[in-house]
Amino acid sequence: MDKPARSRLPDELLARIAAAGRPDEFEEIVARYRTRVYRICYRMAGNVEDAEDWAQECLVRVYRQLPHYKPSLPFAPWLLRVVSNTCLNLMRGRARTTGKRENGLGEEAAGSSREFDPEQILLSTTRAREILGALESLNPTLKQAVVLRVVEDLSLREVAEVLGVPLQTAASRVRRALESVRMRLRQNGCDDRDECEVGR
Amino acid sequence: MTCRWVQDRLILYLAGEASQRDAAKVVRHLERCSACMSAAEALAEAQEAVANAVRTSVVPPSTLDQRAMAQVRSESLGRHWARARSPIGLPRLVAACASACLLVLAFWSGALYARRTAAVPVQVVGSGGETLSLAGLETLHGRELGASAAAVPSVGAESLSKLLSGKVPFKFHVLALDSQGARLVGGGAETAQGQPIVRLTYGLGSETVSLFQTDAMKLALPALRQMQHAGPCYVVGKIGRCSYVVWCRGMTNYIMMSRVKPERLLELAHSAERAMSEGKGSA
Repeated sequence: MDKPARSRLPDELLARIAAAGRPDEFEEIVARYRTRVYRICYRMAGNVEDAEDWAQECLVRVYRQLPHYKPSLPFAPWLLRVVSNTCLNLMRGRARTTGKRENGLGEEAAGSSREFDPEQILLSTTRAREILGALESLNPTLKQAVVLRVVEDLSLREVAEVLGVPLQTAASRVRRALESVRMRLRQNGCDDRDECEVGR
Repeated sequence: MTCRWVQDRLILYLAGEASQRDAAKVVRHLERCSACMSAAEALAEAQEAVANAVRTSVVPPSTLDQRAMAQVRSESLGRHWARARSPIGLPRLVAACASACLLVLAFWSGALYARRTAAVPVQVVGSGGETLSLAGLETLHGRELGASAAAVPSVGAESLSKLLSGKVPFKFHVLALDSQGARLVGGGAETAQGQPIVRLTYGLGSETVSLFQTDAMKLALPALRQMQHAGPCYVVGKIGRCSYVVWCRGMTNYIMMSRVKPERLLELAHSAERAMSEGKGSA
């Protein structure tokens, strides 16, 4: 089967073929989802260096889990569930290793990222930095929910589906995450202003 | 209907995902409750602020697909072997235990190293590049043998990592292997076959161990024998008076070389690989 033909196949069928021991078919899945996977990893990891390693780990984990995927169900939510759960485990592993929950966004916010990142433009406002800092301090499960909601722009129903929890639970996690961010901004005097006071 | 009930459903209402019945109740309540109205405004504002800050335009690096697919293809080979096992529960368990015992026995006796007839072609990663010359690396390794490892002060993995950072255009690891009795005594960026490589030097008793790291896309592994052991594929062999262990991780090849016995070197290489898996010693 040549590549152009493969590119027209639905995700569900490609996943089934790849699970049957044809990793070349998985390459097309990687091509379709690489950006979404990377962006989730970037937000969950908090820095570009870990993001690449995490994205690789997530894609490999998706491949390993393919035999458990039921082709009668939509592929994207299943993939996002594997990816977000893998990120959650990696976050917890990193917290155990480093003894702290997170270390990534400080690097980005300080402008010390080793790669060019167009987001530096956005991060030039202290308010954005404060928001990202507040996200970093969130419980990993709350962060997972809010990242899926705002980075992936999923509906709450889709977030619930990806996380495998009831709708009300998913909604509650997103709400608690947003309230935590808001409280953190208020503590730092950023809630009603475009710019926080420097040096806080 | 209490304020608590309404506030629990605000996020669903704001997302347009509350049921019609719940949405109507929320609207009726908000019309007469200023506290819940303020909470709704604050939640909507927080959601918009977070969305603006968090939405990202970053794009994955071009190497991501290659790295992921190299690992997937490597694992696919292992999965193929696994499928050959019995599908029935108990016999499958017995077969797995027996395989594990055999692997452990073979590992400690060095039998896998000696049995050249059981060769399986190695999966060459980055085969588009030039094949790595182990003889060339042995020469590089030999240059250090004149110096006694014991006479060289130990260096910190972190400081060495910083020193080497940015000097080679591929991902590498600087590892502390003190728990395995190997003391990091130095390292640097060098050239092999016209390509940049990283070389770390360890003192292991009276011997020296070199750990070379190369870009798998530029210098491919030589097609030798391979041994499957706890995940990664190792190539174990001898060149001249040196033992070597070669393995691949992501898009980086690792070549460990020393005059110690191949079994001991494999043990050390496996420890290094495990340390990398646990995220230790990155650069």
